[in-house]
Order: sequence, then structure tokens, then C-alpha cells
Amino acid sequence: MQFDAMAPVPVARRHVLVTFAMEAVTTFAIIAFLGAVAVAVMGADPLAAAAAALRQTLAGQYEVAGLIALSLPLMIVGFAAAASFKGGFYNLGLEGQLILGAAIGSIVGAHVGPFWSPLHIAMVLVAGGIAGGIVAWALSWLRVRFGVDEVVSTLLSNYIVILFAIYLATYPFRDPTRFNGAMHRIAPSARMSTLVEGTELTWGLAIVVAIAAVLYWLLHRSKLGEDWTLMGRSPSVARNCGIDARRFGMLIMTSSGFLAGLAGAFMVSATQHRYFANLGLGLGFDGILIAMIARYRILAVSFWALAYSWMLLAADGIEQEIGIPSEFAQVVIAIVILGVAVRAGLVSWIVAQVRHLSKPAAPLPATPPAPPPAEES
Amino acid sequence: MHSLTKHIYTSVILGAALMTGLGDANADSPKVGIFVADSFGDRAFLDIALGGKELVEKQYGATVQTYEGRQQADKFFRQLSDAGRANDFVFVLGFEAIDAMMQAAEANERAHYIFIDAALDSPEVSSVGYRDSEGCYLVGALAARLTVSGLPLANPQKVIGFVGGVDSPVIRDCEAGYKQGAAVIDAETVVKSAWVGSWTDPAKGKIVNQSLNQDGSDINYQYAGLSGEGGFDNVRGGSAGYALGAGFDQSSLAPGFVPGSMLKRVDQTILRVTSGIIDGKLQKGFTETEGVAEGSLTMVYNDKLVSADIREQVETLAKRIASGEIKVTSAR
Amino acid sequence: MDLAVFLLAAAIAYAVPIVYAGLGGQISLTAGDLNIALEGEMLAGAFVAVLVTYILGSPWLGIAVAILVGGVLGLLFGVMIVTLKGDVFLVGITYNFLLGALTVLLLSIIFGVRGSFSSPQLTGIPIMPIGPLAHVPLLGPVLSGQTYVAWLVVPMVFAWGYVLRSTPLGLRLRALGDNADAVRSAGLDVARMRLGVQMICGMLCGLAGAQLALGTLTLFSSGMSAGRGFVALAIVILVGQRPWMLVLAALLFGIADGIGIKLQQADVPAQIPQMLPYVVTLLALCAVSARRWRAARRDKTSA
Repeated sequence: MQFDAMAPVPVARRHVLVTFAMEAVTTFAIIAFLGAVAVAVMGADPLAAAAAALRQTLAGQYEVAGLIALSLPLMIVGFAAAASFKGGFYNLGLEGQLILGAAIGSIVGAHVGPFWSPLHIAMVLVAGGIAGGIVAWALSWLRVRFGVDEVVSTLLSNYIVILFAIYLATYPFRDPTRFNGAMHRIAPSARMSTLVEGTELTWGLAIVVAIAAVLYWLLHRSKLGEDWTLMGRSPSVARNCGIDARRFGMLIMTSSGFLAGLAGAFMVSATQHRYFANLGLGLGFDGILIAMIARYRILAVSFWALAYSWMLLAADGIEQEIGIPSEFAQVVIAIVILGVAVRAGLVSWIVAQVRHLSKPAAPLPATPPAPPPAEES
Repeated sequence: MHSLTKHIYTSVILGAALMTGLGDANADSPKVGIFVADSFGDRAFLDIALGGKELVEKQYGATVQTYEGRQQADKFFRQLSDAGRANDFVFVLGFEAIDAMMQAAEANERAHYIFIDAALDSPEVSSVGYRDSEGCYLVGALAARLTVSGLPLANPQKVIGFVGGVDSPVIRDCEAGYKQGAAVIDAETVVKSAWVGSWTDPAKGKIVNQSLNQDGSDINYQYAGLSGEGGFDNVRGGSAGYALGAGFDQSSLAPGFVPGSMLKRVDQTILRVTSGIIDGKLQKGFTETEGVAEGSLTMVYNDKLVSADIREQVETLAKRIASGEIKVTSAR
Repeated sequence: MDLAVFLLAAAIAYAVPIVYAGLGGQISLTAGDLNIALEGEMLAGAFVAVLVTYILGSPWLGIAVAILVGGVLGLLFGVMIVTLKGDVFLVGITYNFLLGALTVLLLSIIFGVRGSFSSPQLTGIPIMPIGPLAHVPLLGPVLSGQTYVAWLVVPMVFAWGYVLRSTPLGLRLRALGDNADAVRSAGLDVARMRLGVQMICGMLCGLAGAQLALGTLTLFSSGMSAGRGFVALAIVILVGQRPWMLVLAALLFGIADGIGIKLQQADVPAQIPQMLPYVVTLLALCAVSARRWRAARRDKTSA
């Protein structure tokens, strides 16, 4: 099966770039097909829509830089989701951790310093990371100490933490010249400098590449990464292998929260330059989505963050040029993701149906035989 | 498969015909952009601006392109830059987009952005602010007057309510005006305020209104977007007093139970600014503040619920605000 | 109206849709699938209920079609996670996105409005008369304003509790959640059972949405489920397989929400009292977990 690149059990280890190329091709095939059908259903011209989508996203340096800039925070929050889910912890509090990270990073950027710029930027990022990390650490402590299910506690923590961040922006740290609950603008030394003039792409790109490289090595190439995966598959086996499951679990959650907080602070330092109420809403779930499609592999997360951003911008482009309502584009994006989410299962289901048709003698199973479970999910 | 191909083919031709048609009709007309940081359908500020789109299209034959930021802040700069290049001028709504707009204005000097809802005093962009507290002052006066007017559903207590969407400075500003207006009618009037915590949760909005009813309020001002629809739903049964509308004339949401609404004429602002720019009267960099005096914040009444003398009293207050005799303190 | 009446009435108004969605989530979780799409399925139910009621003029038909559509959506969800082996989290999150956007899109296509739709032609679910009970202090005013669908919660929870505890079906469902392989080796069709469970879950979410749009309110507004599906999910995980605890927890949440509204009167930043229901639920979760945890330890040490 050519397009079954994401099949759960790869027979031989393919080169990582080959895998990506195949993922890219299948993804864009799915997007292009569903997008074209959808546009045609709305009575518009699919070719014009495709041209609009490409013009808006890949036409030149300006468009490509904008696309990359949009994807950077998504990558970091995707890493955060990948880190926790791979380790077997369902951190649904990424959104709150990201937003608190943005708020605390914004405070450090505006009220501490100014310093030598790289130092100040590092302080903003680390402060945001620590803020997100503390929230995740506290919830993981509840989990290992009292067995408090982290799915609920993280889900509920979002509401509390986001309300707290909005409170900070509306009352103690409010910029009085703004009327929507916005913090003070961070000092120029806390802002990342622009990489491509006229776009929002900053040197933060280098930071994200560095984070990705470190995480790739840690999670996919080191002993720690093996333990991490083992924790995700079976904590009891991990325990038998001599891993202190409690401390390791707290490490997994805390690092996930740290990354989420970092993503929020990154948005502040790179593009937004302050935290305000409503900043970052929805990004937590976007990150989970991206990490899950990428099956928690760091490089795949980067790719999918780009692909997701591409879809958002392409939808905007089509909306502007062709005049298709934006909800329609959202519906198509959601269907595309659902298609991607079930594509491995869809392929094996079709294969099973075909086999079953070609062998009429065999007794019909009520449902297709279960393919082996997904390796890392 | 054949029919699908055919369908696509037809739509290609259809789409192409449609697009050439559009292109011909509007070759010389002004191109206007409207960017909103959130999305349309808020039943408040942004939807009123959308009404401005129709006015501008009708009056000037303008081509109006709308842009929705959907609260995805990292897209604002990109969308605003595109909008700035593609249009003669762009109306920008939503405080969240101010920074991105300033940045886009710096990057492209030819672009003309007009921020609506705050006076920014910047040479690089134009802006129009509203003195919301003035309009809310009038609503407060009306509510304070109605709560002791002997309307069938009004109780004798001098308690009125204010329902805000979220607790933010711009909503506190309106609340402050509402309280001042109530105090002018009767210093003993008690204003109870409550916040829904969301602009899109009418069910919670209804409970918040019931909470105010329980505090003795018989008339609540809905300053809460879609959440406010829960407040109108609350009074529709005829047992929970009255609701006052904001932004639009919202009397149709609970016919017979909405004594009045405060209109915020963002659509008129957009029309007026458009004509000013086209006539050359308004240059890039202008700053305006509008309120009751400019007719941007006005009241509409339901005559069956609001007697002529109450109406007269509120309109007199409006005139005194317009003349500068009454100064409404802002809480922004 | 006194404070206690307000708090109880607000709690019931808040709790009923959450309990319906929560029942769906509980059935789903009992069978081993954590359905995170309650939010979206509920929103779809609200939309369909309003649409059908407006067109056909009867809230009962609206409810019926909302349940039906909910069932179809639930079945579709089931097909994606069971037959096509999609990850339940990934599919669930995306399903919420999809249904959120789809309802807005259909709202603008069908009604030509954006944001919300209400109309005098839209009739809500009728209120059930309770006769002399209405004169009982405290309970009377609280219970006299409840719709038939709100009252239906009581027999539903009874029925589900009975099915879960005392029938072979309940046993199988629990076994499905505990150990699907054992169920499979017992000769049962696991896939079909999980599909059925998701269908029922979707139907209950449809009912939850119908009650929200036609019972609590009489309107549809985009995103009107406003996190209730997630609250229901949190409560389901909190209470495990106990139906009545689900009702209790939802009421507790509703009361905390009402107290949070009242606390805003203290002239504090509104964000602080708004945290209350979530803080209370989190604390309840900690207390329940700590008790279970200690009990489990005791068992282990005494064994």
C-alpha cells in the first residue's frame, strides 16, 4: 500500500525523510481532494480556489515566512502535547498552561529589565515555561500522591488558570491605555528580532529548531526516550524495569507543562508583545490535535504544525478570493483531520472488505479483523 | 464519477462567469475592508459594523471585503497587511488587533487603517472612539425611572440590574455610566451588577439575570452579546420583569418586555467615515470621539412601556450630555 | 424569591443538560471509551431541536429528531473510533470542531442569520404541572417550573442504574470497559456493542442539547453548549459508574456556579468568583480520589 505510510506496524525502518515525504503527499492529496469537492459543492471553481490557496501561502518569501511564523507556537505546544501523551499522561490542561505562560512571560518582559536582549528573551521564555510547569507539576503531584485523575484535573484547571490570567491582565497588570484587559507591552529587549522584514517571522525560528532538535534527541534517540515510551505503554512494566514511575510521571507532566508555558511566552516575545484576554484560546486543543496526528513524533509534529497552519491560511485565502464562508473552510479542515485520523483504519478496512469479497467461501466476520493496535497511541 | 466531473465543470464555468461579472461592475468603485478580531455573529458590535458594509455598498457602490480574525492573534498581522494592500482603507474592530494594526501600518505607509472603538491619537492610523458611558448613562436613567414607574411587572424596590459579558475595562465603563445615570434619577437606586464570564453562553446569561431578579431587580440591562439573549429569554415568559437592549434595537427578542435599547451606530460611523475619506474631508491620522452629541449613541423606546414624560426626561438628559452640561465620568 | 430557591433552581437548570450528556458519557466510559465529543454532539442536538421545532411547530418532534440525529452522529463517531480505529481523543476533539463550525454554517444557510436564532414561533418544551406539590415551601417554587424533559431525568437515571447494576447487559458493558478481550472470547461482538454504546451516547447528547435549547432557553445560539460537555465529561470521570452521584455532582456544580454569581456582588473582580464551580469540582475530585486511594492502600496492606 503506497499511501499507508502511517500504518501502525512499519515492516522495515524507513528513512525519516522518506516517511515525511510520503506523509506530505498523502496529506496534501486528502486536503486537495476534499477541498476541491467542497469548493465544487459550493458552486465555485476548485482550480481558482487551489490557485488562491497557493498564492496566499507559498507564492513568495513573504507568504512562506508568514506561514512558518504562524506554525512556530503550534509546534511548541504540539511538542508539549506529544511529551505528555507519549509518556501516557493525558494533559488536557495545555491551553491553561500556555495562557498562564503567556501572562507570566508578559509580566517578566514588561516589568523586569530591560536587560541584554538574549538574556531578557530567555528570561521571558523560562518564566512562562516555569509558570506552565508549576501548574502541570501540581496536578501531577495530585495524581501520584492521591491518584487524582489527570484528565479531569487538567481539564478543570484550564478554566481556573485562564480566569486567573485574565484577572491579572484586567486588574493588577493592566495597561491603562487598553480597554480589553491587556497587559503592558514588553520592553524592546524582550522582543525577538525579525528574521524576514515585513513578516512576523523572527529569530524565534532558531529557538524552535533547537527545541525540536533537543527533544528529538531526548525522546527518540536516548535512554530517557526509551523509558518515556515505556511509561506511555505500561507504567507497571516501567516500574519492573527499575523506573521510579511516580517521579518519572511527574517529570513527564512537568516538562509538558513547561513546554506549553514556553509556547505561550514565545507568542508574547515573538509576535504579540503582550498578553491580553483571549490570547491563545484554542491553541491547547490545536496542539493536542497536531501531536496526535503526528503520533507523538517530534519531527512529525513540526510537519503537522506547518500543515495545519497551511490549511488555516489557505482557507483564509480561499475565503478572501473566492468568497466562500469561513465556517465552510473550518468544516472542511475538520473533515480532513478526521480523514487523516482514520486513514490507517480506513485502509485496512478496505483491504479487509476486498479480501473478503475475493474469498467468498470464507465465513463472513461481522466486522473486519482487528488490525494490530496503534503502536504509540 | 461522470456526474461529479460534470458538476465540477459546470461550477468552473459558473464561477468564472460570476467573477468576471463582479470585476466589471466595480472597476472604479472604492475598495473598503472591514477587519474584525473575532468573528461576525456576535449580535452586537461586530454585527452592527456588518450593517455598515451594506450602507457603504449601497451609497458608494463600494466593494467591501470582510476579514475575520477568529481570535487567532498570530494571524492578525498577516490579515491586516493583506487587507491594507488590497483596499483603499480598512476599518479595524477589536482591541486585540491594535498592536498588529500599528505594526502593519508601520510596515506599509500607503495602507490606511481606521480603528473603531478607541481613540488612538496616532498619526499612522485613524481612529474613532465612543464615549460608551454616555449611552449607558441614559439607559441607567431609564431603568431607574422605570423601576418605580408602576409598570405591571415592576416591583416597588428601587433596584436595577446590569449584566456584563465579561469583566473588562470597556464593560466596566458602561457599568459606571449606567450607575451615574441611575443616581441622577434617584440617588437611592441600587444597581446590582453581574458578569456572565462569556459572550456566547445564553443559558448562563439567563441564570445571571435570575440572580439579579432574586436580588430585587425588575429591569436588567443586557450588555453581554449572545449571553444577553438569555436575559431576553428570561423576561419573555412575563414573570421576570423587563430587559433593556444594547447595540441594536433588541425589542423583537422579547416583544412587550423590552422598554428600550441603546443603539451604538457603528454602521453610521462607517458610512460617515467612508464619505469623509472619499470627499477628502478626513485624512489619514484623524482621531474622533463620538458619543451622544454626535448621535452615535441613541435610545429607542417602546412607547407602550415608556410613558411620554419618562421618555422626555431621558431625552432631556441626552440633550444636557450633548451640550456638555452633564459630564459622564468614564471608567476606562 | 429567596436565595435558596434561586440557588436550587439555578442548579437544576444548569444540571439537567449536563446530566443527560453525562449519562451518555458514563455509558460510554463504562464501555471503555472516553467520549470527549459530548460538547459537539450536544450542540448539534440543540441546533436540530430548534430547527425542527421551528419548522414543524412541535417541540416534541424537535426533541425526537434531535435524539435521532444525535444517534446518527454518535454512530458515526463510533464507526470512526471502532470500525476505523481512529484515536478516540483525536476524533473527539475534531468532532467538536466539526460540529461547532457546521452548526454555524447551517444556521447561516438555513436561517440566514449568524450568531443566534430565536422566534416567537419557537415553542419550548412544556412545563410539567406538579399539582399540590407547588405549594410546598422551597421545593414548590423550585420544582414547579421544570419541563417534562427535566423530570425525565429521574426515571432515566433510575433505569440506567438498574441496567448497570442488575442486568446482564450492564454486566457486559462493565466487562467491556474492564477487559474487552474477555468479552470477545465470551463470543460477544465487541465492535457492535461499542457502536451501540456510542449511538446511545449520541442520542443522550441530542436530548441534552434539546433541553438546553428548548427547556433552559428557547433559542439557538452558536457555541451555546459553552463548555457544558466538558463539565459533563469531568463529572463522569469524577463519579465513575455511579449514576446518582452524577446527578449530585452536576447539582453541586450548578450550586457552586450560582454562589459564584452571588459572590460577584461583593464588588470583586468577577474572574475570581467565576472560578468557584471549577475549584469546587477540583476539590471534590481530590477528596474522592484521596478516599479511594487510601481505601485501596488499606486493602493492599490488609490483604
